[in-house]
Amino acid sequence: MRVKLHVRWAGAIAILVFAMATIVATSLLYNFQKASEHLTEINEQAISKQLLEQLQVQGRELSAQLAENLANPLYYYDLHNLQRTLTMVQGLYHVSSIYVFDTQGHIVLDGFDKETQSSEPSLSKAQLEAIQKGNYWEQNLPNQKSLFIRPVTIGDDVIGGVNLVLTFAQTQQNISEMKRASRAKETENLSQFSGFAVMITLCLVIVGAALATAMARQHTRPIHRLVEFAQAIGSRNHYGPIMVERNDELGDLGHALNQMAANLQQHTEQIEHLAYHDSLTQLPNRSRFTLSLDRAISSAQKNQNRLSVFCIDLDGFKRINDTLGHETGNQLLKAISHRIACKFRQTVLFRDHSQDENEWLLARLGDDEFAVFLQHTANTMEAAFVAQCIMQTFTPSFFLDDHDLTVTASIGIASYPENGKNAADLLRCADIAMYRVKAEGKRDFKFFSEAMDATDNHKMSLEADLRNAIGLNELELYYQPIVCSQTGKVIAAEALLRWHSERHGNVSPCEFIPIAEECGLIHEIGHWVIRTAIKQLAQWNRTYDRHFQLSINISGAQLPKQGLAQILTREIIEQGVTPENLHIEVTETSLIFNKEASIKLLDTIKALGVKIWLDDFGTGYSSLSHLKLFNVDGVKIDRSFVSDLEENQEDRTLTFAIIAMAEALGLNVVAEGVESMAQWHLLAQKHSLYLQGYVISKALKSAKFEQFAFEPKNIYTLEKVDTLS
Amino acid sequence: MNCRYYHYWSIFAVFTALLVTAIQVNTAQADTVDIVNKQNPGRDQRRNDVLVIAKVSDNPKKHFRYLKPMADYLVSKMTDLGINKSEVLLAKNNQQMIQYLKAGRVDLITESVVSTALFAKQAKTTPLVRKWKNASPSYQSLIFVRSDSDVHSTTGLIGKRIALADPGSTSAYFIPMATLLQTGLPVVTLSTPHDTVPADAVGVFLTSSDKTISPLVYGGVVEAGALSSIDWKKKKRVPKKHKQAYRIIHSSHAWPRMLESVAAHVNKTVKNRIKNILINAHLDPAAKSALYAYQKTSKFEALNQEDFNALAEAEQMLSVVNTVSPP
Repeated sequence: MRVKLHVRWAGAIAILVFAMATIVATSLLYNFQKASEHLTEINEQAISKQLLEQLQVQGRELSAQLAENLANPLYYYDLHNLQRTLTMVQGLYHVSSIYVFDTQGHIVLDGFDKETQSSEPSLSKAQLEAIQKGNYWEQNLPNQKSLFIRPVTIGDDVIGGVNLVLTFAQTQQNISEMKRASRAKETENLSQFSGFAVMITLCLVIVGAALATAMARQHTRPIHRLVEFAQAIGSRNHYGPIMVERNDELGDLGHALNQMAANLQQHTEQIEHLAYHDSLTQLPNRSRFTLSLDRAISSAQKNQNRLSVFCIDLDGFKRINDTLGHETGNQLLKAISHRIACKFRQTVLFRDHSQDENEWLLARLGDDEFAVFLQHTANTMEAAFVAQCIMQTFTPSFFLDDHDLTVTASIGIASYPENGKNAADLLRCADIAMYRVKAEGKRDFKFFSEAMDATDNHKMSLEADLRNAIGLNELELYYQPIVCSQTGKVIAAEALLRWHSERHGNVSPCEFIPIAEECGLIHEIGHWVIRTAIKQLAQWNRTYDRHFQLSINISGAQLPKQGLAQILTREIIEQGVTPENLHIEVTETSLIFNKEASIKLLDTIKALGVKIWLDDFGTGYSSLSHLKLFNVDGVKIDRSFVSDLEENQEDRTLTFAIIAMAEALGLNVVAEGVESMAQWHLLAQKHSLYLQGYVISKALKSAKFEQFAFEPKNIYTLEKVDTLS
Repeated sequence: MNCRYYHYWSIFAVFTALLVTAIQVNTAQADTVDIVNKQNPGRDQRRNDVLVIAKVSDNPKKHFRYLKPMADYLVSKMTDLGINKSEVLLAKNNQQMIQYLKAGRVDLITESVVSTALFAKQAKTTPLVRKWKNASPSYQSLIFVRSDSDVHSTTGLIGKRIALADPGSTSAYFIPMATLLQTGLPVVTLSTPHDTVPADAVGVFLTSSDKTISPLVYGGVVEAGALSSIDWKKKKRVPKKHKQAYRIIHSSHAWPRMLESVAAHVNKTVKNRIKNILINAHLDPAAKSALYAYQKTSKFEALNQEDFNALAEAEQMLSVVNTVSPP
């Protein structure tokens, strides 16, 4: 249960006051009772003593008076008057006995004669003698009685005496009654005093509690304020300062809280900055961007404006990072962010809403991914212009650490309100558009469309199924024959991957390979391909032709993996294939981003005896230096050259130049995409090279390939080609 | 708290005081009725060396004090006669005194003229000297009425009431009673002053004390009262206001106040010695205190003819009063 401070305080003081008052009252009561008892006792003793003394005095006086009054009746023996006098006396409550005697001690008249026998003995000799001499006799008797004997005289003559016994029993009884009354009064006083004490105690407790509450409230009021302030600090609503104008500990506490709040605010701002900013570029991060974008969307919604989000991803940044190191990569990122920001400032400067703080915002979302939103983009045209501007920021190239770095970017654009009503949707759409650019060759920008979203969904589904494809045996290698242009003999084959998805049907490698590369499945799939292909090659070498060769495509994504050479080595050894029969096809582009590592890897592979082929030669850099640099065994001329061979003189010239150059360098050449005999004929005219294409065969399943390649009737010759044509 | 006990004390003290007073009053008002006539065993034998002075008294304690110094004084003057011891004997009434006298237990008595006459007749005592009491040798008996009364003489008292003192009083009882009787007025004793008085007699109401006589007359309860001339002069007896309202209708001749008598057995020598001592006592400084104690006696005088006449008259009156109204 929560008990407030002032209640505790008041309670404690009330209890304290109650305890003190109780103790004081109790001790007062106790002392009062003690004193009262003591006083009563003293009084009783004093009174008892005085009463008894009084009784003694009375006994003397009474006996003297009796002796005086009895003289005349005794002188005349006037018994009637003697009796009357004694009767007066015997009616007194404290008279125990009385009698009158003559000079010889004979009882003349006993006051109690008629009713009770006098209990007192007759006079002793000493008493009688004393009386005869006219002396007074007084004596205390047992049983609280006193004896008074007086001579009765006429002149000097003793004519007799009076014997009086007084009892104190009645007096004692009176004293006892007095004691009782006194005690009763004392008890009454005590109970009155107790009542009074209880009332005083209650009053003290009530007053004490009230005062304590008031005082406590006075003290806890600033505490409440401080608590509220502390709670405000805790919930980051308010950082003060709070004014506590006191010279006590609470004042100190207030100052301490103010100081703490100031520090906290500073720290919070730092943390917020850290939380919402990228430490490298000092640009806002994804969280901050999302928040700002949402605000911008709200604003746009209110003002019925359009808004565009640009998702910028650097092309090939990973390679720069890998080859030149992270430090260079980071510097590049900083330079890029600086350029884009500057560009935006310049661009926005000429717009109507340049003063609006939230007009645009550049953020770094991830490694090499930036995003920017821009409000008041009137239409697609304007957005496209902005995207173009962004693209322009990457030229000229960046010169860092003695490296001239050419970087391009892929930009996806999504717009409010068409593509989404919130930051998450817009970012996702821009992301999809950006990936589409990536997929379609990079260094471009695209607007998001619903179709992309569908593609993207399809991609996600494919990715999910692809993960299970190997386990479900849905992957299969097809083999496309490669023949000698002169003999027509199938001397080799290219292993091509096919995916028979249960859900999606046959999926094109063009479709699923990029997905595999993106999600990293390429390594697993690549491994499977290598293993399966080498196994097949081994079988064919054993069964049909020990010189038969098989080429495997290696994705650029597989290259950085140092494990590739080990995998190849292990599989070659396990299957017992001749390494020279195994060919690896790589594209020039996949090698160029990480030249040194690639050279090293290729050298390792070559050392095994495996042949290296450059695939799609002619489309990329087609650098002669690359041919030398990478130390390849052969090149495969891209199908785009071959397909236009008949019609396009340039292509024809270029193709032949390539072939001539390859021959000059001692490289083997494979022409891909040979689809007609005319092409074959053209290619086979001048040079000896290898051909691959539909005119020979499409890619075939393993069994069919065996039928096609290893049966003599299927040997293609020029003659046969001619025949066929 | 203590104050409550003061009540006890005050009650106690007041009670004690009341008790003492009650005893005194009761004893003073007690009737001297003889219940047992018993001789004091110590006084049986008559001894020659003892002089006994006696008196009739209702207060022996008081009169003992009066008489004892005189007895001692007398004895002091009589040692040569072999008398060296004095005694005081008090009798509660005339009868007892007569017995004492007859028994020879008394030597000297001091009494009024009436009692002296009685003892002389009954016990053969011999009157010796006259005593001046309070500086006066004699007194008178006065009968008085209210000034507005229609009574002007003793005879006018017929059918009226008169208040007298107790029969022991000479001037307030014996003389006025004798006067009434000797005048030939029939006397009826009233038990209360409101009793009906016969038209042919005088109603006599005897009060216990001569102090109440004046108030009774003044208040009109009785028509007349009698007092001695000495009491008449005392303001305590008759306040001035009363006296102004009174009228004296009868005044007796002068009567001697007190007479000393010797018993019959006292021999002549002793008798003469006593007479001499008494007559000369007022000359003796040693007797001064004894005289004063002896009822403020100024002096003693030898008897003259008037005294003897008075005694004779008293004796005569005794027979009248005793026949008509025995005490």
